[in-house]
Amino acid sequence: MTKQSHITPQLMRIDDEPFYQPVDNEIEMFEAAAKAGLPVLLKGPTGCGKTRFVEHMAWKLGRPLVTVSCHDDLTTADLIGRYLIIGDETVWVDGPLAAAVRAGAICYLDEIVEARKDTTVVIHPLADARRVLNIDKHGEQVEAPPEFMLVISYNPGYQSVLKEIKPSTRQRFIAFDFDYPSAAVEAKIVAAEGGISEELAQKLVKLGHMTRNLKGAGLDEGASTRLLVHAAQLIATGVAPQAACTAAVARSLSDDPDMTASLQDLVNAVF
Amino acid sequence: MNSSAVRRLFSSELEVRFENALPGHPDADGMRRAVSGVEKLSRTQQDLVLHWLDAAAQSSFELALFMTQMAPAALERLDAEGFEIWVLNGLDMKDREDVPTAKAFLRDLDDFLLRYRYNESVASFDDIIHQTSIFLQAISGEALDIRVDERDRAWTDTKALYLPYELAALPDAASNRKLYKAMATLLWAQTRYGTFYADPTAEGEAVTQNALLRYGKDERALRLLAALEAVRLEAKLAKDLPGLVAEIAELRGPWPAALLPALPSLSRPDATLADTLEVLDAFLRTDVDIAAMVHAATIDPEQTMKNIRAEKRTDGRPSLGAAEEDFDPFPSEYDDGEAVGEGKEAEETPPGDMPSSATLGRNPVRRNDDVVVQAKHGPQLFPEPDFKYHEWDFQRGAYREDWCHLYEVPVLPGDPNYVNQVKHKYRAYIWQIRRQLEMIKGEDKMLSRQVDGEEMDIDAVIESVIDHRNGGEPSDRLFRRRVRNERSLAVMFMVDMSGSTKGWVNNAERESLILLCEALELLNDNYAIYGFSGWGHKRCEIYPVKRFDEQYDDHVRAKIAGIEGKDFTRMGVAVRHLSKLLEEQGARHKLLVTISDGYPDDFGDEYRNDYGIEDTRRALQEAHERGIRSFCVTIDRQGADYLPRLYGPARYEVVPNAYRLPMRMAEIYRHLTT
Repeated sequence: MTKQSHITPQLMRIDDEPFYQPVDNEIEMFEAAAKAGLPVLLKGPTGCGKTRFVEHMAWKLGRPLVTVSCHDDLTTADLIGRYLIIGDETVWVDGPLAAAVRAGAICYLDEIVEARKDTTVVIHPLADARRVLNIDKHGEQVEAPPEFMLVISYNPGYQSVLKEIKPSTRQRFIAFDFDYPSAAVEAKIVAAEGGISEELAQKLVKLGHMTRNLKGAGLDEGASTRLLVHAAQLIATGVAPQAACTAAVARSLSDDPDMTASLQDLVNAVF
Repeated sequence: MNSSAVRRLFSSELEVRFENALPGHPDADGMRRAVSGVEKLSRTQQDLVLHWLDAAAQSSFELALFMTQMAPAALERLDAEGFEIWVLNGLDMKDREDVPTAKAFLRDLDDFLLRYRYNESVASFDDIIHQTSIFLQAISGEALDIRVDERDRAWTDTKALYLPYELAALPDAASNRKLYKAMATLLWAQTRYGTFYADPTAEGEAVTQNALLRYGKDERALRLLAALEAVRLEAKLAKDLPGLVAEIAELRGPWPAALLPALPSLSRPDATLADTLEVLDAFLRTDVDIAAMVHAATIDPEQTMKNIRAEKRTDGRPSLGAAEEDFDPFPSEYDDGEAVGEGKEAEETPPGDMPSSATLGRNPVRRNDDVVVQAKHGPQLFPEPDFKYHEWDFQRGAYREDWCHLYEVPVLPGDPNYVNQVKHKYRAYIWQIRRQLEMIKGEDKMLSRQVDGEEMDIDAVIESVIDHRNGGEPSDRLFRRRVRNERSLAVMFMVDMSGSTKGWVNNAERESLILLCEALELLNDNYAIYGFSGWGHKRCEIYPVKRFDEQYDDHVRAKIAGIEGKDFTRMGVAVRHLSKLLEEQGARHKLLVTISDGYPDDFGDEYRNDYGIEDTRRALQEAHERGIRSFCVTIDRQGADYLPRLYGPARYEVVPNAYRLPMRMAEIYRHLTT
């Protein structure tokens, strides 16, 4: 094989500690998985803290983090890399997954079910005892260093029957169940992240819980912790709580006029 | 752009629009009169009239023209919304009666205005039920059963909330809708904060009987009781829902002066019914009285206790979505626990071997009491079943082989006009959902790396150049091609036709199916509709409404109209049979959608509770293993805490109110399959 140029992107490390409020033993479990070189699957509803958890763990373990949001046009090349022509030369550019493997980073594939099935398969050899990435294009086999870690996430809630995670994929991962934290913990998170008083945060969490009661009864999902934090952040800038919740919660959860009106009723009832 | 900035249409332009809407209409003179009237309107009004001219012309040229002649007079007195209601009422009148009646209606503007103004100020149960049921589910955490009260009162028997059909106590409709919400929330609060339990540590019924029943029918006492409880409950609600309480306070105005002495003690956060009763008894020793407070609803202890006791008698079994018409699967003479299924005689027969009558076999018309009487006379012959299915016995941890005998029973066609009425009722919605589905359908897919196609695939070309330079073999797949998105989807709708669906639930099911069919026709998805019911494991029935190879034609429409509540809900066997039919379809994705109104139940005690739940769960699991995805829609106004267990491998949604089902179904379908 002729000698070719090769570009691998520089990966950033996270310097400042991302705020994360542990709910259970997830931090110790993740550290154990990292030590054992096991890939991790995070399950949970949208906006409950999966991504933040991974960021926090990357910071804690001192490893770079590569995040890929999966979508149905994501090809193998988008993950592994591709040749580009630069001037008169063909240059291989590592994709995010290859870069992460070489650098011993944490590679986080967010919403893995959205990716095409043929794309998901390339992670298989990385997610079992082999721990290698095959780059067919130039016949390279990259062995993952011990620091490399694969993390995927998906939301088992409401989704199309046409999209499901294959058993052959999921059975390679140890799985963590994420859910919205308990009311007390969630209020702490909303207060800390949103920069508002804990008393106000408790009201937001109350509202959040009420909307979660509607899951499966007109709403696909209730307000996530993230949405509540958004509302809190709006309030912290001086927006009135009701207006903040209308924008961040009621309108963001539904387009159905009946449902939006009911959500607005809830907002008005809580404040 | 502001519509007033657009100039009015001239008569020549209007004439063209009229001729397009009413091609070949002979009444040239009438058309000229209409045009000259419409010409004088503002452009916004002209657009409104022309819009409804087109819509009305679909129904009757004569009526459409008459409407446009009346329009200038109508628009002098009605806003756009009122105008639309006026036209729609006219069109409805034509559908129900005939054109002359509709014209007479449109002509009598005075009468319409009178009723319209009243309607402007009144709020009806139908207006608020969606929003209120969502609101209460959110704050209470469970789907509540909210019903219209026949005597137009607001009260609760602790199982259901009853509201009047209409409210006009306040001057405008918006306030009356808020009043509904306040009433419903206070009724829920009565059940939540112990209006019917004086001492939470005591045995509920005994204490309550003593506590509330002693006021009997004393109207003054009950009026005061309701108001005092409203004071206490408002304070309870204020902790979590201060905004709502402020709204309630605004609706009710200041408390009557007579109640003021009671406020401090009842507004304490730890006040209970006992405090209320103490105040009440003190009031009753004086001659204090107040006018009834509308928002406080009524408390009718006798009625409520009657219902609570009735509940206890049925052994704590939650009453399943028995719709507004009271459907009682057991005749009343067996209510005292002596029904065949529950009494001694039944115990002597082996479980599940419920003897029944040959005359029941395939005859769709029968009476419940006949069955019970004949059930006492030993087993009789059944015709050979069309299919036999096994059933999961969770206690044995094994299948009962060929246990369920399944018969395919034709659906008798119903009212041929029913479908058109439903289409008319939901016409705006059908249009909307079709448009949304049209978008899915229109989503073409780009295939890259094709041998030929409409455009170059740049990625592929670059790769091929690189391969060539590196000495590899360049690919010839260099094009992108647009293809119609092939959905390859087969869907089976399994519809609960058990007796408990009689009434509103059945109607909601039929309406949902019509909306779905109207929408699905557009997508070319392959779908089938089957009903299910039955009476014991020896006579499970399946009712084909639309087979996979059947077209959605008048015959199918009549069968949808003919769907009716029959007997019981033995769900497992229906899931097994229909998933078998579904499996035979060639499509890549197979989806089973069940629509039911409660948990599985069958005659006798056997299938009820855990057995039925476990069997249904097992059947869904079997379907899942064969690559069939299930989605279960339940109309259940009870707590529905059994659902996660029942639907284990399937996804599900609870629609708390039958009203919501038709619209929700179409959305669920869109969501599930895109």
